[in-house]
Amino acid sequence: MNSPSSSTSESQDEKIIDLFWNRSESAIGEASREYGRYCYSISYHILRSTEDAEECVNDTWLRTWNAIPPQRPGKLSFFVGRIVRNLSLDKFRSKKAKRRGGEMSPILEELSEAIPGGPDTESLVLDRELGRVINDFLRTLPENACHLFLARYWHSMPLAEIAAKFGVKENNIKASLFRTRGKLKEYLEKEGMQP
Amino acid sequence: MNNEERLYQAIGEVDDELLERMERAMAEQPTGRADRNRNKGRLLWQAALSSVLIAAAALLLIFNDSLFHRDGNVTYTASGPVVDRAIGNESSSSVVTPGNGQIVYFDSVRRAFETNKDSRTKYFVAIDLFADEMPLNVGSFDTHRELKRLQELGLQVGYAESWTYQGEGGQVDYLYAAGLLTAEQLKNFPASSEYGYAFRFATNADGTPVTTENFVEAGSRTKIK
Repeated sequence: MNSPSSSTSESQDEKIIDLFWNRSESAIGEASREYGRYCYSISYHILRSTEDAEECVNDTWLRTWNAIPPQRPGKLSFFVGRIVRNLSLDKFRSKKAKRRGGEMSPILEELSEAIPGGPDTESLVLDRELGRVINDFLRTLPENACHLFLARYWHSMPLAEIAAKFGVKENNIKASLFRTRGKLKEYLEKEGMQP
Repeated sequence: MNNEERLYQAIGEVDDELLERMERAMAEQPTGRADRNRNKGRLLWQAALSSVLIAAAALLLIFNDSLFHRDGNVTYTASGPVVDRAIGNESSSSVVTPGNGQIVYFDSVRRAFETNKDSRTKYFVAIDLFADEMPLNVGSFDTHRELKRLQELGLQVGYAESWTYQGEGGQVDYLYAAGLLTAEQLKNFPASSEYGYAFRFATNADGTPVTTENFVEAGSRTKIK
């Protein structure tokens, strides 16, 4: 995945956000040029379909157009990344996407290990509260474990790609993620994130 | 939406700051797969050159020990004898990754313990820090925090500077975590359960040992002479 954060300056982000803010039609073109590949990469990891990923990326610009204003994101890559991630998750939930494979099925299976009371537990928590607890949890982790967790479960990167990006063996990544999921489960239990 | 999907969605809402740190760490990695392929020729050339130089340095150590070792493997500073090297090559079996709370001494450091019985002797060692069996970046917040903790426990720890080859005949300096510690301090090292530790004698790319002149205590701006 090409991370735009290293190559895109904050001022470039500001320019694109200003275009959205001022309802300039070139906003979508600029955002697509800057973050199109980034968004496509996230979506493709989830959906494993060029057509579906492209559709999600196109929908992302429309959602971004509708969101800015009133919202004014800090870092545009993460803002559009979240949108394409959620759109891709929605699309994945169709049976067709599930059959196709990709990273999403193993990722969800892995995450089930972190859920207190097991995967069949209904209604884990209110989403907003869960988000806050996860943020707090990630700040308790050693840096590297936090980075690997986010590469896998935010970017939905395949293990091989994470290994190449971080220069770490796949087995070490698996071991780290396993330990982190265990810690997350304990943390969620401690925070009362179970019915 | 089931719980796994809800959890996945909630992870999407993590703070930008955490994501930025992750992307920065990813960008700081010297060689992604693509970069490795691009630089393959150059790296091979550098590896060959390094091997020749290391072999030459090893021969010098074997046949003319006094060239590098003014008095065995001990040098003397204002604070007393300091060991910053060991004779002989490191055996590959000594290179293992410590788990959290574990300590690994490279063979060279173990040998130095046996050779130097003076309890005042300090060992100038590189401290390789690991979290969950993965190396910590020297510039990371975790490394800084851990060195600060060790310093507060009375240990003389900080950063040292070494160099390696870069480009055609060029050199580049890099930092690593280091300590100037007695055998007793090393053997009873106050390991944190969050990190693993490996102690070794650091060398430059040509095999010469890094000396205490290149050591700076954590929180200090002055090199120790």
